[in-house]
Amino acid sequence: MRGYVRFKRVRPCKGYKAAQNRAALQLSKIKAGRPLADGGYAAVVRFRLLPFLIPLAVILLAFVIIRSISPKALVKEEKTTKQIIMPEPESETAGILQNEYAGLYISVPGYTDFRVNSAQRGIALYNPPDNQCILQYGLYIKDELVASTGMLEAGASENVDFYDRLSAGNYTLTLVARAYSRDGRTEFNTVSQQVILQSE
Amino acid sequence: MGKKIIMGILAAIFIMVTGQTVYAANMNTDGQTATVPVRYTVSNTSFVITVPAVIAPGIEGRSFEIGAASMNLRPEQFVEVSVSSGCTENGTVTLKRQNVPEGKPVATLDTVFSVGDKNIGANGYLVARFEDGADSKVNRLGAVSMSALNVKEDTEAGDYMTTVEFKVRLKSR
Repeated sequence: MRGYVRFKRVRPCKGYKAAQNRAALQLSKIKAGRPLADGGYAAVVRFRLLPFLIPLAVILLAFVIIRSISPKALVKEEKTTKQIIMPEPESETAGILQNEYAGLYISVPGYTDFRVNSAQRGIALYNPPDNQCILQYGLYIKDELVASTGMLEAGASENVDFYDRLSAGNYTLTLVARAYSRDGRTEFNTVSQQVILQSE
Repeated sequence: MGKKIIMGILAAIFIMVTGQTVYAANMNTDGQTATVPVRYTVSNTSFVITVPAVIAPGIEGRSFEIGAASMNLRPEQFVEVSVSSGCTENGTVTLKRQNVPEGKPVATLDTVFSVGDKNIGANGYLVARFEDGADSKVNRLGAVSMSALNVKEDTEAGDYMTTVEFKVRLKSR
């Protein structure tokens, strides 16, 4: 732009486009102007605030959004919703503190009178599937061990054959089920049963 | 004549034997119908008894249950559970301090087992009874109570534990 000119209404003409682009680079808009004799265009421009404010507003909005979903903000919210945790009644925890197996129950199957002969030479002994322990059976007649099983995991069973140790007749057989923790290191309570055994 | 007497005796014996056979079959007639009992015995009695793994009383009175499962008993049968060892005649069960260093006396704590208002020693050590019926899995004697342990300030620290032996008996009335 050179010299003094009289401005009139804006009329797109030769050189106008170039002037408009140049004004846009400065975030401005042509408000008035007139073509020059050398093919240029003399323009009065006005700074446009809006193109400047929109990116600024977008940046601020993005900042606010990111801040609202950041972990720091979540932690702050958690703090506001935390409640005081009340201790359990002492009666419910006393036993647990004293023994890790307190409250654990073991199941032992019941056995009835049975007979053994050349075809049925013994008895099948098992550990119920739901047990959280190992069972080991010992079979006694007059305090003498006549047969025993290995360490039976839950769900396992074993046939014990003791027919050859008996002569024909009736016996009082004591089945002793010894229970152990699954790691085998802690002995649990024992369950014994007496049945009548008939040997043929 | 002799033949007639012998034939008569044989006929009498035959009638008596035949009559007893009808009686032995337990047949009752009212002239038109006959009732004959049909009997079959199912011999598959079975049951499972549940006991606590360890005896774990507390500083307050506690209790444990003896349970039953898969109950299939004859009507006249019942199952009794008693404590056969580990309990004195006044129902006292002694817990021993675990992992005591060699040479040091083992500290103990006592608890008393009772069912109802009586210690189990006064009741043949019985702790459970299960019978055939709608509630066959319910212990007719109720829960077994363990008295509070007498823990004092100078009681030695550590785990105190013991095991007992439960005896299961299938009986008939």
